[in-house]
Amino acid sequence: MGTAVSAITSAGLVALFVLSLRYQLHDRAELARRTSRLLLLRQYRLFAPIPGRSDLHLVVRDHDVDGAPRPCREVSMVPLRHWSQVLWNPQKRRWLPVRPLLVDLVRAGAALEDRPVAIELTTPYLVLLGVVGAEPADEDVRARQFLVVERYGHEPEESPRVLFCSAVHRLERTTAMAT
Amino acid sequence: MIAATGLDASLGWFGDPDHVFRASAVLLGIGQTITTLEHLAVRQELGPGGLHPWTVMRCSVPRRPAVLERVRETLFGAPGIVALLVLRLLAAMTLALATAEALTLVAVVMLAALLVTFSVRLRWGQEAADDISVQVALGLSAFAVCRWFDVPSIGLYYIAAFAALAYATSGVTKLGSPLWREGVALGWVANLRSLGAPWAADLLWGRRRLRVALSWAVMVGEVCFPLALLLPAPGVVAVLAAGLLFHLATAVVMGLNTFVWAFAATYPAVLLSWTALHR
Repeated sequence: MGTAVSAITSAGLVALFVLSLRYQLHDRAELARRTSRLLLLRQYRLFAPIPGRSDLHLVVRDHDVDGAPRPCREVSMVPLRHWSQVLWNPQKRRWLPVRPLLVDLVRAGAALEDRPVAIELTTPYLVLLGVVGAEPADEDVRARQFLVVERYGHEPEESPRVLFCSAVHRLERTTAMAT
Repeated sequence: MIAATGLDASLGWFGDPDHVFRASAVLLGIGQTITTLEHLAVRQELGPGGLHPWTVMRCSVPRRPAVLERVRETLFGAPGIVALLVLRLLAAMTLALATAEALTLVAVVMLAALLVTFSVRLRWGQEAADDISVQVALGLSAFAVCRWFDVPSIGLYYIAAFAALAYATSGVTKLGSPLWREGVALGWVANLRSLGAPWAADLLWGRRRLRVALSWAVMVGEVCFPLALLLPAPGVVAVLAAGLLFHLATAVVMGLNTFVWAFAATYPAVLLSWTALHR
């Protein structure tokens, strides 16, 4: 029994290591083509070869009863850096998913440009719709849309760029939103 | 010479796999306690209106037989996933504190299973530290199970090999990028609002030589990490100390606090491999 356990665990770990090693060799295009079925595989490139130069921000725009848009405001996700984050950084759990979500949405937006309804059915779109729908709204706000905005970190001279703009969705007073 | 001999003797402590398991388990347990408490602190993100709502995420996963679907719905819905987080917290704390063999075996196997479950459930928002923790938990589980049956295991060597793979991949990919070789990438990362810090961006701004020096230090350190096994005792200690310092620096500048614990949990296994080679 013990020998079998040793053999099985060893074989499993060796197989996982070989698969992981092979997975490191896939280039970016290959990774985009095939998503790993085994979720334990991941590339350890850590900000390489090209790190993100810009931050992606989730922005909401409310619309009044008469349909007039209000000024855009950012959904606050990124906390200010504080020394305590060396030990304890729960806010990181809020902003970590935001970038991959927004990147996936922008990619889906580009791929489904001619089918806007299909974009609204993608998982990132529905997740973000839920997130902006849960944001507080004034009494006279009737509809809301969200935008993905790119900004170059702390560089003040670079103007923000809108990468994606959602449809305008009716705002339900129960905080849920429907198209 | 005397100091080096003393260091050799100190590193000899890591020649005992039981010591290495304990050291690695404590570091993993602490790191996972912090990580799980962080998830619990923002648990509203797991429900409707959050960033991981199962009501939406379930649409993007393959259908399973009815029984499995029911189990998945129960576990991955908002109350179920919070219960799993509490279970994960208990397993992590037990791993950090307990010394009894049976208890650590149950804790580490449970933690490994839960970490794999969470890597399925949280499609976005897993960082490299989370993935490394999964690998450490798998290696420790294999070791603990085999120890229970009193048979040999490669679990601890797997952890060391995985650490080498992660560092080397990161280093080689950076070396292949002119942006990293010329120090540009480091300036970009420090300048991000999400991952950088204004003081770090100011420090690096206009100081090309400093950026290049720091970039090369990171790249060479990462690429050479596997070679640390071949170095004499002061060399391997220096490499691991540099690694720890690097992760502490990323925790300060980038807020990546759990990288310190996740990667440090691999270091006892690296020292076990070193003692095996230099015996």
